[in-house]
Amino acid sequence: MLKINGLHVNYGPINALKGISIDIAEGKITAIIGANGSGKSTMLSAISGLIIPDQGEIYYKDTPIQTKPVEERVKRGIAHVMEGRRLFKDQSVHDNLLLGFYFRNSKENKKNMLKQITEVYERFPILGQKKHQLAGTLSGGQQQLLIISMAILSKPRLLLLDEPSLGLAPIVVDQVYQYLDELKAMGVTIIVSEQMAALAMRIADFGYVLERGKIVGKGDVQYLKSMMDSDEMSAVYFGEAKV
Amino acid sequence: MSSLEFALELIFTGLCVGAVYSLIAHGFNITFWTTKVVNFGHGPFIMFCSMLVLSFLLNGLPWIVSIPLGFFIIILLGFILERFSIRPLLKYPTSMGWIVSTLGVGLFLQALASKIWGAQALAFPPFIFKATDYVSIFGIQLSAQYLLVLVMALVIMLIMEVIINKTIWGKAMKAVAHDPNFARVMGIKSKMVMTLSFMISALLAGVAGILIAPIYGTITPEFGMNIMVLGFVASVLGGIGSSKGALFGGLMLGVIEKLVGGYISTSAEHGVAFLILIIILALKPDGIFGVKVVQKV
Repeated sequence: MLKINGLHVNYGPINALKGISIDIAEGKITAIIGANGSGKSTMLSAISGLIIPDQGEIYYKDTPIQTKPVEERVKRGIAHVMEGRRLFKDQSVHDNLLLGFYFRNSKENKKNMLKQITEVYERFPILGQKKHQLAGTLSGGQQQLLIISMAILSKPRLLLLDEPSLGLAPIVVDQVYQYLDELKAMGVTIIVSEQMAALAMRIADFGYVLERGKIVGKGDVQYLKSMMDSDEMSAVYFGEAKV
Repeated sequence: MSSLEFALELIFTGLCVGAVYSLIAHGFNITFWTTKVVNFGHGPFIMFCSMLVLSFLLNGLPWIVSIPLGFFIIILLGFILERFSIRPLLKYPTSMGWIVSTLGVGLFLQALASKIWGAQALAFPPFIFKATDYVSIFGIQLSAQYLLVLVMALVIMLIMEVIINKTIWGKAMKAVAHDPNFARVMGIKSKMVMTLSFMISALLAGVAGILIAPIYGTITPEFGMNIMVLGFVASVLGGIGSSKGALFGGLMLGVIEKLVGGYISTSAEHGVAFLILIIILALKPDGIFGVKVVQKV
């Protein structure tokens, strides 16, 4: 589904990603685990096109996309839920969903726009109740549900989620993760970045551990769980990995 | 003329001139929304469009051809302005280079107009109505030309409001203003929306020029810059970025100006208007309708 070879991203003198290579299987949930500043967000932004890498290739469905603009990647089915609950906070919940839908769907699909938005309200009734409210006035959890709903309305084949649990109450995190499981069952490939490794492990099939722009561990959930219990993993979080 | 009639006539004239200030403030708002840039080239755009239309008229073209042609050229200039003097600077959000670049483009257009049409004032013919056409409402004689300006400015602003608040493209414009990167991952072509906003803003400048030039009677290469300052004041007074603010800021400024002109002195019009502006801003620094983003924290 997605293959990255030797990806380098530099912010001026800072090397944010130092030759990352990953392979994402179709229909699976892949976790990217790492501490703050390890390069998780940079990696997801390079996949969605917000950042153009300095070096390396990104293949999506066997086509190189590393130089394609964001809008082109969106059309190909890549949806990016950015870190920090990004929303159009000065517009209503309903308008956010309209914007989430309109520019990423074909003309044919647009005929059913309101029906599909109504389905979101049925899935998350709280969003339906607050549809005329400004998105910025929703609680953190409601905002996250809205953001993910906006991403889903584009019918993505590859969904990138950057720390979806950040700052959310455990009960809301459960709701978000349950929804991701449902999406996986619908055949969506998901890459989720998390600082909280234990959370990601709950739903992921495979994972990569990132530290200071390098991959320092990869494997299936069992392997990562065993790694988590070891000193090695805790060292990753304190920035002293010896891999 | 009774003192009441005199006051009402001043208020009416003020509303008409103010409607054009509102239109200019609207033009400022549109580019401010998408790029957070205040286009100081807006005034010379107003002048350049009216100069172009006048020059087409003088060359024998009819109004019906001259106006669309003028609008087309000014929209094209709006496109060029965004592409070459705004977009390169947006890569550096902290850069204040846009002040210099927009002002630079404005001054260039002003110099170009002087070169082509000369620095002297040129007579601008009345549009649709003659300067002597009057309409009588409640016993007050209202200039038909002024009335036309008021009605057209209000209609254009109403259309803009509907486009921005009711259409998906308007919502996309607001989305780009709020967070261009997030808008991009939502599939909105942020850069195209920015370019489009400069083209629409240029068109509004052109419309303002065509509406106000017959009222002024003559136009000079400097006329746009002078009127732009008043449009900018209207914008700040109402609260930059706010549509309601642009409308009320403009109308208020126009009425204050004309009342001062009528009761004190025409030479004090701008001075007193600015004094009132300073007082209002001291009390409401964000402007009367200053946009405040509601956000739960």
